[in-house]
Amino acid sequence: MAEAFVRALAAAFCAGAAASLIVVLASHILPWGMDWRYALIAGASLFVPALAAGLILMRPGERDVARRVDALGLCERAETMLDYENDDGIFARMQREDALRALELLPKSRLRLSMPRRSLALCLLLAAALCAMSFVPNGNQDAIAERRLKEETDRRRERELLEKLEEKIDEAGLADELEEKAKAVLDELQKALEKAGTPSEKLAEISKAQDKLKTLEEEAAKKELENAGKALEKSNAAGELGEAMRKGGAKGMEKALEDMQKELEGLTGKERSERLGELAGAMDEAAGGLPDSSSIGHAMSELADALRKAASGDGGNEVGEGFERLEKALGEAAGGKSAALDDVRQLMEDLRRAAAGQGGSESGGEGQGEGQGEGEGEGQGEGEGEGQGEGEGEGQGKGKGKGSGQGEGQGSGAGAGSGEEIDKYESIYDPSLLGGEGDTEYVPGKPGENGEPQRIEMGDAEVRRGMIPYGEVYGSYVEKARRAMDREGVPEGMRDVIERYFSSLS
Amino acid sequence: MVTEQDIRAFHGELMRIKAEIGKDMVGQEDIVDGVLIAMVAGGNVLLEGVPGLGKTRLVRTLGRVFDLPFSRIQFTPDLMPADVIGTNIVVRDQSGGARFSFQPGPIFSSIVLADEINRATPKTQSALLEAMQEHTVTAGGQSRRLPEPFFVLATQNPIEQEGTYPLPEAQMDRFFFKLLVPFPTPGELVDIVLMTQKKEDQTSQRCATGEDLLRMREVARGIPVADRVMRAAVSLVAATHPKSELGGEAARKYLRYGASPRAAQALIFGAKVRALMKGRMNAALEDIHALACAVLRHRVALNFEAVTTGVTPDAVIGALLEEQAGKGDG
Repeated sequence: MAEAFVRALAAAFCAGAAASLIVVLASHILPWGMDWRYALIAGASLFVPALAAGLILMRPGERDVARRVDALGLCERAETMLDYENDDGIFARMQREDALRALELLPKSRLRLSMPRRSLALCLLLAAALCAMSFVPNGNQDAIAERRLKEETDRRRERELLEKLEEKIDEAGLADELEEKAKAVLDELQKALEKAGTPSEKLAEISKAQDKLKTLEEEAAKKELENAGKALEKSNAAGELGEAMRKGGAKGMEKALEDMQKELEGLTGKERSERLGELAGAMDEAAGGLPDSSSIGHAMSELADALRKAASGDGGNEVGEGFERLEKALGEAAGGKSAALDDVRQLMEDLRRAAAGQGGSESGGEGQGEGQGEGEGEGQGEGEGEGQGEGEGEGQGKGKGKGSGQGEGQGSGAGAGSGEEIDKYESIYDPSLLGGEGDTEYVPGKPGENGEPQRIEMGDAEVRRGMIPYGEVYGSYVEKARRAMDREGVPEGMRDVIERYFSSLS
Repeated sequence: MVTEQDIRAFHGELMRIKAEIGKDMVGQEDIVDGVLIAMVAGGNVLLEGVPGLGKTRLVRTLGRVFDLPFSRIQFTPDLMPADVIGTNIVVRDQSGGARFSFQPGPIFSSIVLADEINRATPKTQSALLEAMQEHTVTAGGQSRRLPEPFFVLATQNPIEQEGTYPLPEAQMDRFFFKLLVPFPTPGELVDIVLMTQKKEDQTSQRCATGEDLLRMREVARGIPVADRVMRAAVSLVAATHPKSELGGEAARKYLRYGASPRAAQALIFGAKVRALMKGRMNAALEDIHALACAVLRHRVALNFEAVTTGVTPDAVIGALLEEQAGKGDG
């Protein structure tokens, strides 16, 4: 029985050591986050059932014991005795007597515990192999450690960015209600990021937060316009602008500013000075009611200074520039953009890059954007679009259109980046990579006055069709798909399919 | 009816016989043991050895120790079957009439020494077949029973093969054992020389009878054999068959054909007698291993490769035993 226990123990040790060795060997081949604890756990978890199984299976039967005893020099006496145990014949009886006599005469020293030498040798061999493996450098582990370090760095970067975001929201001087909402969005984002496992999940959460912040930004811009508009409405000189600002229409504000400028141009002498002073006062008052970070507030303050200088007969040109800056600030606010949240927006982009594992601590890089412009009316206009780039850098889109009025551009950008999470050597086909050196490209337009077709110069460009690293576009494609799903009203059932598809690519 | 006393007496009796033979025979203990085992088991023995190694002396000693009629037939190419079996001769009775009367040949003895058996023609050799297997001889259309116990001890010379007639396989199979008589050691040689210088050469005395031998045979028959031992014997015999699924690797390589079922019978019976001889009440694997060569070496036929490379039957049997042990059968 003791011998069976020793054999079972040795077999269990072998099994455990083999399991540990397999885990260790596998860690050299497979990209596992190997820890010697795993090998120990694997060994221990096989050792226990192997020992139990060994004790059950190796428990010696009568015949095994007989054979074992016979091997000590009894010359099959014990086995024969067992075979003839039910035989009462004279031979069987005498054979039993002979076997028992031989057993009695068997020296006790020969009944020693026999060690399972093979199993013990195997145990030692496996243990030696395990020890040897600990000295074999594991390339996988280095890569994994590096990746973990990178992940930890990214997580730290995320935390820092989230802290910075909170600071920037504090500094933005938003209305209490908006600030509260923005912080709530951040809290929610922080929790979601902690729960998210993959970069794509993180990106999705960041996108959601960006959308929410975008809504808040629009609200903040609207509020700024309303507050400033109300303040201006009190003034006779700027009442029209104030009303337009309160209504929030970009065209209305533009028109009100043009009218204001025309009116000023039509005035002379004392009347002009008085009007300029009145306008400066109104602007100052309106700017005072806005947050320090407000671009409208800054533009109004600058315009007020310029107006005052002009009223004192100095710096006439600055008034025009001031109006232009105010027009631009109002246009941005009408478009839902608040300068107070510029930093927040930028930090959110940094956070996105960190989450995608593509960004470093710097936000510089290359970006490319596409833009579309739309124009209405006659003449030539230019629309500007914004693009968002994935990866390192931000994209810019520029739209050009023919017509008059305002052009609105929408841009989406694809930025080049490098990431560790997604294998950068896996390339996919990118149909249109703009940029780089090449011949000047022209887009033919309508025939001009001289009959020659007008040409729009695109600058040095070439369409580079080819393969680009998968990691550079993965994040932006996921994001584009997600936005498209939100925008296009993709059926509920298909959303999961698309989500799964992109998840499978990561 | 075998009694407990018979069983208990077996070992002592056999040891006494052996000791008595030892008085006339110097060395050759294995040969003496083999011959005794075969005699007890009722088998015939083929002794192979160069002349002068004491083969004839052993047979004579056996006859004296058992107090059994002994005859010797010197096989020569011109020896006829009738010279062995006997023949019908015309005799005149008291009334003057003539009638055939059977004149028994030298085979009508309990212990027959067939000296240089391979020198006789196959016809004469085959005259021994019936006697060896059935213990009867047929002459003039009449079968006659040979005296019991009946034991043929044949010898053959491994050298001087010219003008000999190798024994047919069927006859070889009738021999329980084929024993190779080795040349004595220098010490034994000295003893042999000294023994032959004595005035009275024969010192062994009768210590057993033919009935004792038959009783011992009955005793040996009843010795228990464990399943494992039985399986080992059968597996070994099966392993000698090169074309069988059970055939061993060495058999496939070096043998032309394997041993007959008589070999398995001989192995088991021989093992039983040997067990008793060793003071055991059961046959053991050790007995099978000890007797394997003696039982099998004349029952297997080497193939051309074995003959040309000098592989002996004993080497093949040894390899088969190792194979069996490796499989856990032996």
